[in-house]
Amino acid sequence: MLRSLISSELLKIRKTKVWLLLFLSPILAAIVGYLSDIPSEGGWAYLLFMMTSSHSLLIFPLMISVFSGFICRYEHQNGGWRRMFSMPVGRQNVYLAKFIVVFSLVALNQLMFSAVYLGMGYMQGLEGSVPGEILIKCLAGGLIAALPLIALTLWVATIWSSFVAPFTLNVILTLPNMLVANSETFRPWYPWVQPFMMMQGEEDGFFTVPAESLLVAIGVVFVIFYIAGSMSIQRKAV
Amino acid sequence: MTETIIQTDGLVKSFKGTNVVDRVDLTIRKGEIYGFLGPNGAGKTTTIRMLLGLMKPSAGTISIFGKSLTSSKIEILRKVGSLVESPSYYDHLNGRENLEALRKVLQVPKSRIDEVLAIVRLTKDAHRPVKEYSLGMKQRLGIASSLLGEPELLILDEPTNGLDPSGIQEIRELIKSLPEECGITIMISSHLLSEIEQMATQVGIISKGRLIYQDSIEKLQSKAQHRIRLRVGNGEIAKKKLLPHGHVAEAEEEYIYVEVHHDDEIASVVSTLVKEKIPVYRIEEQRQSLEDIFLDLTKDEEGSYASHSAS
Repeated sequence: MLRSLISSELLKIRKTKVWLLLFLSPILAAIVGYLSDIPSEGGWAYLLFMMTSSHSLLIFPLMISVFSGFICRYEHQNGGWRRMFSMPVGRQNVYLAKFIVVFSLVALNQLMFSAVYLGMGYMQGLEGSVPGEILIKCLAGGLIAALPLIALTLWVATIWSSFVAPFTLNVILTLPNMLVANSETFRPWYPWVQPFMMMQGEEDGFFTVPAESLLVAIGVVFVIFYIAGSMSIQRKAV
Repeated sequence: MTETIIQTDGLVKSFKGTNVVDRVDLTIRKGEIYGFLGPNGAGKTTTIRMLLGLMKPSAGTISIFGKSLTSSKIEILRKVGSLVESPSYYDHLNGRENLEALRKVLQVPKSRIDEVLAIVRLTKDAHRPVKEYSLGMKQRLGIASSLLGEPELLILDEPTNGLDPSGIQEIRELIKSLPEECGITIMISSHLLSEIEQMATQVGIISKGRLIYQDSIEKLQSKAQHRIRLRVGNGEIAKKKLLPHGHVAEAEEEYIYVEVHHDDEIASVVSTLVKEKIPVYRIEEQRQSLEDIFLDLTKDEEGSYASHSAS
């Protein structure tokens, strides 16, 4: 059942402009990578640090709300929810299918980002080997840190029919990132800064993030937002 | 006794203290075309949304196919096709993709899409984006979607709303043909009696949230009063002459009106008039139209101050 719901979602979202937006963050990352002045020592690690900073601090969190907005937009427009919920499927499955599709889009975005990273690195003729392990940890870490953000934006996107609402909320919550990232006190606990924390291209990858912050800022917040969203969809009168 | 498909018991939905749907007991049996009739805002759509589980009732129970909607919702919805309020569609997709998105969820064979497109005559326009469709085409696409899962029960809320006369005719023929061809039960709502009259076998009339009538369309028609109007020159005189013979008439200028239940009565009235030397110029039957009955029924509910505007 879940598989057929996901395949139906993919058919619906395929015809929207979301695919064009998928290229937005890799293009921005490419520009940053291209403009970076790379030292000869440890060039790859430096390039990763430069590119992930701008990506994870702003663009990545914002893209998440765009994906959530897109996957709910066509349901709000012409009675889509009503049609979906009068079908023989559980509402929880509909919600989960949408969550999975947004998560996949985020994952695809991460893959495109890493492709651009490798492309930029080779283009600039960097020496040494690609820090494969760090790159993978950084991508996976970003994905894990995206979970609470997907849960919140999807919840908001199912409630408000306006496409702008989840985006605006996400902008408001993302903007403090610059400050929070520099604050020792708030940094480990603020969910919106976690993608940045997880994607910092340091020697140890995401293991630099303390375990309790990982558990609270990502795990607990994700569970709370997901349950809230799924309860709201269960009660939604359409 | 035929199988009951929909049974609601004391169904209530209240918004802010007012009962929009008030203790409604619907009974819809297999093979019926049940016309759910009522003025706009009477609670038709709210009732239908509750039947489909789109909205939770404030009180009362719903059972469909003999099963409780609360406990067997998915199982029930598998056999129900619906069209609620305005048609639902994805306007960035074309007609066929719209159906395909639903087909994937319903898990019926791909060939079913061509079948339903043919039924609603949209095959030629299936490749066009739905945003280019006229309202009538969207409505037909909505009906196609509701038929996709080969339902045993079809719930259509105002399916002819916003259609032009030829579109209405087309949908009407389509709906009438379905129970014969596929043996399905249909519940169809409308605020137009004339429309229900042409399709339905059973009628339920809802006004201000209350179900004020539920029976066959024939019963409703027989409720119509039969009055005989006679042109007799002077109504008052005729009325006075008839009274000693046990005939009660109403006089109005040169006419009298009598309510009769048997042909013998009218024969007796006429022979009395002739004996009394009152000329009888014309005898005609006057039937109250269904529209009048409908207005009467809904007017009683609304109280003496309400207007007829709702119908």
